[in-house]
This record gives sequence, C-alpha cells and structure tokens, in this order.
Amino acid sequence: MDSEQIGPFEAYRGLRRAHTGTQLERVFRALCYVLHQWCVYPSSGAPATSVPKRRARHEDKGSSDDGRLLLLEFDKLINIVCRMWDKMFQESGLKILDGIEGLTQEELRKIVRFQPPAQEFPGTHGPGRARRKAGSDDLVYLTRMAEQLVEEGFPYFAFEPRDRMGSHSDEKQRDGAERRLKSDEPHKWVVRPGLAVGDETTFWGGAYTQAEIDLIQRTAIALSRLGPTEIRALGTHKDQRGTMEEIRRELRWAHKACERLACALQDGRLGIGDASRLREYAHEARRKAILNEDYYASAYETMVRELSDAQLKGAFQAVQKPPSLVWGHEDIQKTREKVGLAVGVADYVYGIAFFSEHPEELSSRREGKTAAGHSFEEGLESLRRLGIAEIPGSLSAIVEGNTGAIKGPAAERLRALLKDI
Amino acid sequence: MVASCRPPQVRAHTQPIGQELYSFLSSEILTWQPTLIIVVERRGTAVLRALKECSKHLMCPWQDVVSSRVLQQHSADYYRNKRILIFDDMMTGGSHVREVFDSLSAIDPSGVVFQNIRVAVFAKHESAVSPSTHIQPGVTEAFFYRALTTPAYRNTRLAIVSMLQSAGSLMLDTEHIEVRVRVKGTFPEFLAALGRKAHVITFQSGGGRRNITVLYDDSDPAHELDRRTLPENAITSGIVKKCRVVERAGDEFALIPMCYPGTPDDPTDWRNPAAYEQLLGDPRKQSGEARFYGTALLSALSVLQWALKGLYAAGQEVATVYLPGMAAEDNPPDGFTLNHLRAMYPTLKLERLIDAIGVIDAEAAREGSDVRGRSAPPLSQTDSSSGNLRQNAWTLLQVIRHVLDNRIQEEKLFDPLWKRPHPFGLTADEVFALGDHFGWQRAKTSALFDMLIDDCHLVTHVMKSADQDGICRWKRVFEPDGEMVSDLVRMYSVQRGLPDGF
Repeated sequence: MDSEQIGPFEAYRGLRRAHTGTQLERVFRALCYVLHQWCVYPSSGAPATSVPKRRARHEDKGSSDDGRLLLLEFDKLINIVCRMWDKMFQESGLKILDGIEGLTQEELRKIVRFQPPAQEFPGTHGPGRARRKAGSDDLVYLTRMAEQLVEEGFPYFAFEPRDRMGSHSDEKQRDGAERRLKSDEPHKWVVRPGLAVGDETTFWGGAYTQAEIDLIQRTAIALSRLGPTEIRALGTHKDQRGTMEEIRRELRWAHKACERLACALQDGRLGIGDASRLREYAHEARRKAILNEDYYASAYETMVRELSDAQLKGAFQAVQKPPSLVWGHEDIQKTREKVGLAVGVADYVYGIAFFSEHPEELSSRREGKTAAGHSFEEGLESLRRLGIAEIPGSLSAIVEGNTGAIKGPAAERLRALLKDI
Repeated sequence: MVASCRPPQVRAHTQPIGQELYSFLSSEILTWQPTLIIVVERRGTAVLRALKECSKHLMCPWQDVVSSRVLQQHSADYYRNKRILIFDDMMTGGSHVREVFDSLSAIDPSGVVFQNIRVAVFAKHESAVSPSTHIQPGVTEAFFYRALTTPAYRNTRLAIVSMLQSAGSLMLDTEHIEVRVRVKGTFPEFLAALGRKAHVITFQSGGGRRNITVLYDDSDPAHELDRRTLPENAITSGIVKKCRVVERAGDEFALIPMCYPGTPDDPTDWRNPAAYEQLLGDPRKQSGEARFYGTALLSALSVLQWALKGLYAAGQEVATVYLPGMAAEDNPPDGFTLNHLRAMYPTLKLERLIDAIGVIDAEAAREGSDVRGRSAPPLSQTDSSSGNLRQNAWTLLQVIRHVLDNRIQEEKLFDPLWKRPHPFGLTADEVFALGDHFGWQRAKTSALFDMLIDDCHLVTHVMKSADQDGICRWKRVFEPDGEMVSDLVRMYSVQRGLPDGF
C-alpha cells in the first residue's frame, strides 16, 4: 500500500473489508491440525506403543510429558503459530493486499492471504491472543472463544479435566470444575483436537492456499517436537522488550498486592487472598525472569533445527529472538535481583497470612508440616540469603496464637518489607 | 509591529459542512440568545473559532465563551443567571456533554445553574443519548443531524475535520499564543533561521498548508526553562518544547510556541509565583489543571523567544515579525488579537500578556542581532517528501493504541471491576520512547504528534498521576481521539499487523 494512502481519510477507505468470521474459522481449523500433530507425536512419557516408528519427543525437563497439552500451554502454542502466521502474511499477502482479488490461481497459491484476526494481549499466565468485544474494553481470548464454540456445537477442540485419569480425582470437585470456565483455569484443563484430521485434502477443504497449508503443516511438525513446558516458554517470550514488560507487569501487580497487604496490616491483619496473589505474581515473575530461559533455549534450538523450509525458518527467527537476546540484556539481569527479593517476601508473607487466618494450626504445632509452613521457611531462608536483617524467624513471634492478629513490632517490619517490592 | 489584517485563507462556511455548521450555530445563538457559550474541547472550540474567523455576524465575543476544560475556574455565581449554550460538533455516547454537566454540578451543587441551559450538538450518532432525558432533566437541546448511522456519522466527522484542516487546525485552538511572520527571503532561508539551534521538520497538513515543527531538545542549555518562574518540583525535561509554524497565506505564517512542563498538584510547591501572578493571578488559588495550563502559557513565552531570536539572527531580509494587539473586537480590521485566549484562560490579564510578548520580542531582537553572522552547528532538517512521515504517523498511532490497550488489560486483569478513567493516555515522554524504538529522532516523533493531532486522530488531555518520586503531577497526555478512531486503528492492526517488535 502506498504510504500516501494511509492518510487521515484514506485510512477509512483503505481498510480491507474484514472477513473476520471466515478468518477465525480457518485459524481454529489450522490450530486443531497443529494440536492433532502434537498429540499424535510420541511423547517422552507416553506408553511406547503410541507411534513406535517415530522418535519420541526429547524429555521436557519442565514437567512430565504424557502427551497431553494443558489449555494454558495450548494458549502459548497459539501464540507461536500466530506469530509465524503474521510474519508470513507480512512477507507475502500484505504486500499485495489491495490487489489480491486480481490475482491468478497460480499467484494466489504462493501467498498467505491474511493473518489471524487476534492480537497478543497480557494475560494472567502470560500473553495470549485475544479479540476485543465491540464497544467495550473487554477482551475474549481465543482459548475462551474455542470453549464457547464447543458450547455452541462447533467442536474444534475437546476439553477434559487434567486429573480425569489421575488417581486422586474427585468426582464432586470435577463436576464443579465442569461448570466453571475452562479458560479461567487453564492449568486444570487438557485440550485435545476436536476435528478428525484423517485425509488432509478433505481436511483443508480448498479453504487454504498452498502457502497457508505449508505454513501450518511445517509449523506443526516442528512444534510437535517440543514438550509442554518448552511450548509454554516459547509462547510466553519472543524478545527482550516483551519479556521485560512481562516481568515488570508481574512486579507491578505484586507491588499493588503489597500495597493492599500493607493497608490491611494497619488493622493487624494480612489478607490471605492478597498474600496468595502476591505469591502468584512473584513466582510468575521468577518463571519469566529466570526459569523459562532454559526451556526457551531448548525450544528455540529444536525449532530452528526442525524447520526445514528456509522462509519459514526465517520467519521464526524474525518473530522469536535467540535466548541470548531475550535474557542477555543488562536490564533483565538487574530485574532478576528484584524478582528474587519479591519471591522471598511473597513466600514469607504468604506463610504468615495463612497462620494469621488459621491460628489454630499454630497451636497444634503443625505449622512446619503444612504447605504454608514450608512457604514461610523458604521465604525466611531466601530473605536471609539476600542479607535482609531483623526479620522475625518464628511464626509465634509474628502471629498472636489465639486471635491470629499480627503483633505490633512484626507488623511494622512487614510493612517495611512490603515496601521494598 | 502590528500586522495588517488579512482575510482568513479558507472561509469555513464556503464549504457545505461549514455552511451547515454556521447556519446551525448562528440560528441557535439567535434564538437562544446565550450570555455564555461553553465549547466542548477540542473540536467544538475549533469549529466555533473557524466560524468566527469567517464571519463577524456570529454574535459570540470570546469574553462570553468558556472552554469545557476550564469550567472550574469560575465560581457558581458566574454561571448563575446566565443563559448558557453548550456547543459541541458531534455526539456518540454523550460522555463529553455529561462531563460538562458533572463539572457544573460540582461547581454549583444547588443546581441553579441548570435553569437556563441549552445543548446544541451539530451531529448525533444513532446511539447518542438525549441530554434532557439521560443527563440533565429540564435542559433543552438542539441538533442539525441526528440518528446518524455509523458510516454517515463517520463521513460527517471527516467533513468537519477536513474543514478544520483547511482552516488551519492548530490555528483554531484557543490555548496558544500566536505571533505572525511574513517571509521575505526564500523558504529554505526561513527554515534555516528557525532551525538555527533547533531541529526542524516540515510537512504538509491534510489541508495542504505548509507546517513546520521546530523542536528545542533538552541537550542545549540555552533551551532550558527558567526554573525561577516555575513550581519547585516542575518537570522540564522530556516534555513538549516546540514552536509550530503554520502557513496562513503564501508568505505569511503563524508562530505558535508550546511548552508543557509537568506541574505538581500541590499548590504550596510554588515558592515564587510572581511571574505567574502577573499574568494569570494567584496560582495557589487555582485548580491543578488550571495551574498546568497557566504554567504552559508562561513557559511558551520562553519558546517564543528562542524562535524569534533565530529569526532576528537571520536578519530583516528573511522575515518580518508581527505582534498581536489589543482590541475589543475579536477580528479587528487591521492587526490581530489574542482574544481567543479568554476562553481557555479566564484569569488571564490579556494586556499584560501582549506587553510581555512585546518585551520578549525586543529581547529576542537584541539577542538575535548579537549573534547575527555567527554560525551555529547545523541541526537536522527533514522534509516530509523524504521522510514518509504520514506512514510513520499512522504507525505511531497504532502503537499508542496498542500500548494503551495493553495497559487497560493489565488493570482489568488485576482488578476485573476496574473502569477506564478519562483521560487515559500516554505522556509525551512515553510517546517519544515509542519513537525511539523505531529509531526516530525526537523532532520527527514530535512532528508525527502534530500530524496526528491536526488530522484529529490524536487528542491531548491533562492527567494527574503520581511519579516515582512520590509527587503527584499534572501532565499532558495523548490518546486516540475517541472510540471511532480507536476502533479504526484496532481494526487496521488486526487486519494488517502491528509494527515489528510489538
């Protein structure tokens, strides 16, 4: 498009007529295909009988790869596919977008005609592709849209509770979970392809150009070599700027939770809800600042190796930067120190908040055996390692045994500690 | 020297939309006989000014006009017993008019002020509410177009924007000082004079006028603001410090200096308000927003001096400067006035401002002649034809919308009940940082701001926020102009993608 056409008035006319519904249908179908390829590829932890002739996925250090992808991880797989799709569209279709209707069939075969009509936005568990609801600030993530489509009888995907096959599954609890939005608890749901792929020519149904099919097939093959944690890391990060923003966002949220906790401390209390959120944000920041680097690196290496097509490999490398460029920056190194402190404070405070809420657990002398007790101990140890002095080392020095109120001097110290985040 | 009066270059009411606007507003004024007109910023004010520039028959002197941004600067007594006409060009949800009523309600909780109010909106969207039934019972209302479908509404908006661009866009604002120059030398000589110690970008506005953005960056100590005239904790770096130069006729240009320091919300921060007081009254008795605009006006005088110095350094053969004069009439037959500032600065002592501009002009002339002939290190000069500025402006708008959308989502994720405040924009420093991401010089990013504002794609507001040093300050922020522009930008980004790195 000529630059002059994107003027104040031409912008209104120059917009492509949006065929959003059709585009979304094609994107969901393509994602179903990619997920299918991932699921049928033998995983490191799956029974050896699944697809014996093919090499299994290499071991994913992050979690046990039992051939199931959580909705949370699928959300990140969507990100990877869509980033590459965007890039391939920008390399081909975008350049001739306004003349696309005049192309011959042969010319059309070689281009990706559109990009997925959804953008990456911040999410509770990292970025996710979403669309904005008309006339509102609310977003609908593609994972939620997929869930809605299933409810409406368009089963591109199938969802099942994570613990359905687990030995500790509780029927009642699961029924409750069924009624909640799956996309609100993406770590509790497994997603499977809902459409049978079978004969691929039939599956594509003439709705895709050859370039689009190549993009989807080749991306699917490469992605099927990644374990769930690698997918999560690769889909969460793409460059230094975005990663830095993700970490800062978690720290900003942690800071807000700290402000609420500090406010509650004026009444000698610590809300367990806010303490729990602080812990979640701090640990998520650590995942993004530190833990994801290794998984990203191995995922990146695998993708570069497995993407045989030079153009596609170039697109991948354009949208996903090498790990050294993502985490190597001085700013991120500096932020890691902050994140370490946030995790220590969050663990420590969470333990205190729990026993403040349940003082009876203190008197029963079980504090060391509970998860909250462990959290307190870990937090305490981290803070001492970081050289934070004068912090109470025992819960009984902080929490009143009978009421659960936070003792005055401890509250003062906690407020100061929360201010540091 | 006072300029001889020139007729406005584009007569707004010679365009069909201008005729309709003129017919609507003049008949409202004739029938309602308002003693006060409240203009809704920014386009409501611009439309009124465009129409006033064209016709002396529009009976609304600037002293009886007040901008919606500064309503709080008047007491309840000022509004009581007045016949008020609230004028806006367009209405979708009605939020702007609602804000005016909210402000008036806060000023006069008794509601007496609402006894004689009429709302005149030129064009209403089909989803627009009725002010009398949804905002303030009892008020009367008028419209020229109503129940417009989205495409029709969009076309009307485009026609109004086009009319404003033809009339000079920025020259229609009521918050800026203006000085005029007639170029006697060549245009490149004029540019060289303006860019003597500044970065200069030229571009053509949507109305076909030549525009020049002259940016004074923070690196030159000569372009530091005089902190003695500012509040103690004012922010003076990373802010807008520039002179817009807009073509009026072939050889005549308007010099419009702008400067927006971040000003502390705490009025006691002002230790030495003498300079402010002289022009605008006691800042400690004014609202934070009023102090922000007042400080901006005061600071713009420094920018004006830098611009004039460059011209005087180049000599009389390059350009002649014409200063505003005092006249009761808004459009006197000879010369020009700054009477329009009354709408935006109700406490302004206009005569003193005119005097101050005269003093600045004399100082600039003296400083200019001192340095005449001395060479200054050449700074950047960019022309739109080589810079592809319009494409870049659009890219910047996309990214601004995207960053704001991310912020909205971040807030909603933390607190699902969070509602977007108004305004909700990016500061100049944040937008400059976005430009840095693309490797653009700050002068270029600054010119992109100007293009987007002239095109009514970007709108400016003033927002209060706490800084890292814990001080709450008022700052100028930028956001896409309304939901219509935002939706357009979002749709564009979804269909064509965001720039690399976003």
